[in-house]
Amino acid sequence: MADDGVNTKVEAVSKATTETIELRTEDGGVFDVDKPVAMEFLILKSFYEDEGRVFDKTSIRLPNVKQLELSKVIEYCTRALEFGAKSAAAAGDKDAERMVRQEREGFEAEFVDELSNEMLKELILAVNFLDIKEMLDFLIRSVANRIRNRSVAYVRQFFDIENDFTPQEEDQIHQENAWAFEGVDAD
Amino acid sequence: MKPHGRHRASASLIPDGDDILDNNVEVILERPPDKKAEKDKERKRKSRDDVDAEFTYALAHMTTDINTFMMERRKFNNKQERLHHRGECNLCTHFPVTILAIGAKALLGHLKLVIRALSTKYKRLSIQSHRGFPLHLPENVVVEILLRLPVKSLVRFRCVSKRWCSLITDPRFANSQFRGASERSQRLLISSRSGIRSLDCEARFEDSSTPSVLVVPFQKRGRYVSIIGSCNGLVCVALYSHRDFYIWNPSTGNYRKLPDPGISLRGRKYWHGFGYDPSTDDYKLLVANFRMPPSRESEGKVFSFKRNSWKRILRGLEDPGYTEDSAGILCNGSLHWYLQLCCDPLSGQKIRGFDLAEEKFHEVPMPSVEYGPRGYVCIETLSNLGERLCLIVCMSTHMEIWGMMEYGVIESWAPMHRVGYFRVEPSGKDLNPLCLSRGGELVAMKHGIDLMRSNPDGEILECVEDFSDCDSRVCHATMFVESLLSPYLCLT
Repeated sequence: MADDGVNTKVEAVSKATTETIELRTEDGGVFDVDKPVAMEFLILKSFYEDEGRVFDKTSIRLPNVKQLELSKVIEYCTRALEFGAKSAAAAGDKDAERMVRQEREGFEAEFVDELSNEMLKELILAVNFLDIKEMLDFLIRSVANRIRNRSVAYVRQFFDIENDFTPQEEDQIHQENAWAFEGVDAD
Repeated sequence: MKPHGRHRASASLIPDGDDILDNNVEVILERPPDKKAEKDKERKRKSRDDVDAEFTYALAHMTTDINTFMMERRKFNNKQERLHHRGECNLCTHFPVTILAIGAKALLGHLKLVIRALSTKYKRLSIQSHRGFPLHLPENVVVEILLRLPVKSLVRFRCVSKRWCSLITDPRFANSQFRGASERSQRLLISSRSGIRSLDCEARFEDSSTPSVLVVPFQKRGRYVSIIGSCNGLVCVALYSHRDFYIWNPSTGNYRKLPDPGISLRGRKYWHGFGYDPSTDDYKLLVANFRMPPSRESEGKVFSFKRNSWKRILRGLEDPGYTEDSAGILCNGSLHWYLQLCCDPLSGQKIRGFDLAEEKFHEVPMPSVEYGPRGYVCIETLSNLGERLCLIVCMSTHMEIWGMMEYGVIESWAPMHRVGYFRVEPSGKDLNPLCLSRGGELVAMKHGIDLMRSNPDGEILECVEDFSDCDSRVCHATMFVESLLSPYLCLT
C-alpha cells in the first residue's frame, strides 16, 4: 500500500519528470520512489550501475524490508537530500549554514524521538541491508546516544544479550571501576 | 477416556468454540501420522524463525484458552452445585462435567506441563517484538555503536557479556576509539587525604560531593602517589622520587611498572616528565637528578616504550638553578621546565624544553613582558592549557595567565586568562592551573589544597577548600583524558 503522504512529499521536492522506481516490501507494500532517493540505497545503485541496466520502471522486491521501515527510510533520505541541497546553496553564508544545520538537527531529533527501541533496531537492519551509509551512521549515533548513560541491564535488554558472567565476576568489574557506575540513569 | 485422547475423542468432550484448543492440541501433543506428518514437514521447511513465531502465538492462545476453559468450567461447576443443592441437578444434559473432569483435567495437566516447558525454552522470546523473536544486530554494527560511546560507558559495558568485554578491551578497539573520539572527556586526578580521586572537569565540584576514590592497584600503604604527568589517558606516577614508576590508565585500571632507572638516591632536585611523541609513536619518561655541589655530575635518563629500556642523557643537565622538584609540562612533543638561573629577574629566567623525539634539550623563548611596578612582579609556574604552553605572570593587582599561541614564536605570547588575587599575598607558586574546561573556564589548585574554577575575566565561579592534602613536595593533581589505551602499547 503506497504511502501517499510520502509520495506527495517526494513529488513536491522533485521535478515533474523525475524517474521513479517501484519498490515492493516483503509484507506487500508498494512504494514509488524517486530515482535520487532510490540511488541512496547502494544496494539498488550497484544493481543498476554495475549491471549496466537501464533505469526503467521495473518493480524491485526487497525481501528483508517491511512497509513501515521502508516508509521511514524514504522519509529520512528524502529530507537528507533536501538538507544537502540547502546546505550547498548556503555555502559561504555562515548564518544560512547554521540555520540549515539547526533545522536538520531538529528534524533528526524529532525523527529519532518517535522511534521505539524495537523500531530503531528494525530500521538499522533495513538500512544495513539497503546499504545507506548516511542514514546508518545517523541511526548508529542515535543508538549510542540512547544507551550511553543507561545501566548494564538496560543494554542487555536492548541488544537481547544473555549475561554469561558469574555474579562474582560481575561484582569484581563493578568494584574495580566503581566510578563508571555512578550517575547512571535509572531503568 | 485416555489423557492423550486422540483429537476426535477430545472434540466430543469439549463443546463449542474450543476448536482452537483442539487444533493446538494437535500441534503440541503427539501427532498422528500421515496427514499431520506432512504438515510437520512443511513447517520444518519454513525458516526456524517462523516456527518459533508460531509457537509463541499458539502458546499465547493456548494459555488464554485454557484460562477461559477453566473459568467456564468453574462457573458451570458452581452452578451445578447450587442446582444440586436445590435438587435441580442437570448433570447429565449440558456441560458433561464428570466425564470432562477426568479427561479434561488430565488433558489440562499435560498441557500445563507442555506450556511450562515451552515457556522455559522461549523465555527469552521478546513478546514485545512484533516479530515474536529477538532482533539481533550484526556485530559490526554493534562495534560501530560502541565506538561512539564515551569511555565511562564503555568501561561499564564491559559487564554486559563476555563477548562485549573482549571487544571493549581489545587494544585495536581502544586505538580506534581514541583516534575517532569527537570529544575526549577531561577528568581531574587529585591526590587527597582519602586517596586518589577522579572528577569530571565540566561538572561543578560541589555536585560531585562524593567523587569516587579510585582504586590504585599498586599503591602502598602510607605512600603518597606522586603524579608526574599524563597524556592520551595514561598517567605516570611515582611512589618515590626516582624509582617505582608506574604507567596507569585510571579509566580502565590497567597499569604497568617500569624498570628502575638505577639513578642514585642522593640528589638535590628531581625533574620528571612523561609524554607522547607522535612523530615516533612512542611514550617517554624522563628522570633527572641534580646534585650539589656543581662539581658532581647530574644524572638523567630517558625510558622509551619502544626501546623498553632506560638511556642516559649525556648533555643538557647543567645547573637547573632555582627550581623546585617539578614535573615537566608536555606541549608540542617536548617536556618543559621553568627555571631561574640567578637572581636577575630580567635575564635569568628560562624555559628549558626536552624534545622527546630527539631526546635533546633546547630553549623556549620567554614572553617579553615589562618588568616593574607597572609591569609584572614575577613569573611562575608553567602549565599546558588548551594545548598551549602557559606561564603565570603576576602583576601588582592581579595575575594573568599568558599562553604561547604559536609554539616557539616569542611574539605569540599573549594573555589568555585573568585571575584575581586571593586572600594570601600574590605569588604564582600558589596557583597550579590544571586545565581549561570546554567552556573556557580555568580549573586550578590553590595553595595545593583548594580546588577552584574561574572564568577568563578572573571571577571565581566556585572554590572548594581543603580538597587535597597539603604537602608541597608532592604534586597533587593533573588533568587526564579518558581513554581505553593500554599502558603497554603505542598507538599503532
